[in-house]
Amino acid sequence: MSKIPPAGMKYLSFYGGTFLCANKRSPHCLPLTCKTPPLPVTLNALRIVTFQHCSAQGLVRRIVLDINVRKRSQVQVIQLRGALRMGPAVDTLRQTFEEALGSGDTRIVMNLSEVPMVDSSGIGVLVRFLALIKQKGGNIKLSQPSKFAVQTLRLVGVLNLFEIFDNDDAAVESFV
Amino acid sequence: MPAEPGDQETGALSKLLDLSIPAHPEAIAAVVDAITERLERLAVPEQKRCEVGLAVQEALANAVVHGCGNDPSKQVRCQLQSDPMGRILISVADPGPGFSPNLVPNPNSEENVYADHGRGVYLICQLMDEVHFESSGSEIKMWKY
Repeated sequence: MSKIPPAGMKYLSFYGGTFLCANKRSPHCLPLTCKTPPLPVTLNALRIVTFQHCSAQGLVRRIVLDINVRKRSQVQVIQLRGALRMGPAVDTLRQTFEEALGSGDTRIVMNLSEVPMVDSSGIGVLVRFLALIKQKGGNIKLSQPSKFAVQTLRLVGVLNLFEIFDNDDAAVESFV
Repeated sequence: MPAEPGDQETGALSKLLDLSIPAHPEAIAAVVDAITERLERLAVPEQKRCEVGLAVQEALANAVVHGCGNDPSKQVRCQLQSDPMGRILISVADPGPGFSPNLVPNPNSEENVYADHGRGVYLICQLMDEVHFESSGSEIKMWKY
């Protein structure tokens, strides 16, 4: 169904309403009946893919979003690659934030350099968890947001809620 | 922006794409990508493509969620057209009862700033040059010049 993922990359595939989990270099089908996938406790790298039927190409595998989470100096750095829009991408980011909150990680840097689009659902998750995390004394800071992401955040009047940095290092150091 | 061979002429408007999708969030991306790819082939500048793509994303999301209640047995229709002056018209229609855009809360008000929803219609109106709600709000027509 999908290529064997590179070592260290977990794949979460959404196919016809069922989530299939592929682990490292040994993909296996593990049908899950829940609507949102149970994420691994320690989330490092996740690729969300979806399969769609195309009349011309048959079954097409589409990468929805890559999420890479790493910890630097007690700060969670979350790098996204792909459009942050309604569906599995926003749902997974929401779960990522919930996991961080549950673990007491309230210092978060979001690298949006490779996020070409943030829709209103994505904005909703960002500002909602910004509020929740700030209540716990933390913050979500943005690193290298794409030009269009900045424009969108500004259009809906939430850009000034966030601190924005040119690179991850500066964003991480600002928490010290 | 000239029409491509095979485009259907309907009066002054050229129909470039006519798509119907099941009302499921996962079906939206393919339509947005198809529209932006078509606009790229027509040499529409990137900034404009991004703005149109996001407006379409928002309109389809509203149709799927509010117009169809996330019921994949229902269909949402999306059309891309252009006029002889190169202006783009995108129409999104759903089978729902419609809504009144005047009743959508202002996302910029203080009590809504941290809301996790309610920005879609506002974004569409900011991104597109003209927006019309027809059929009691179950159809939206968006122009980009």
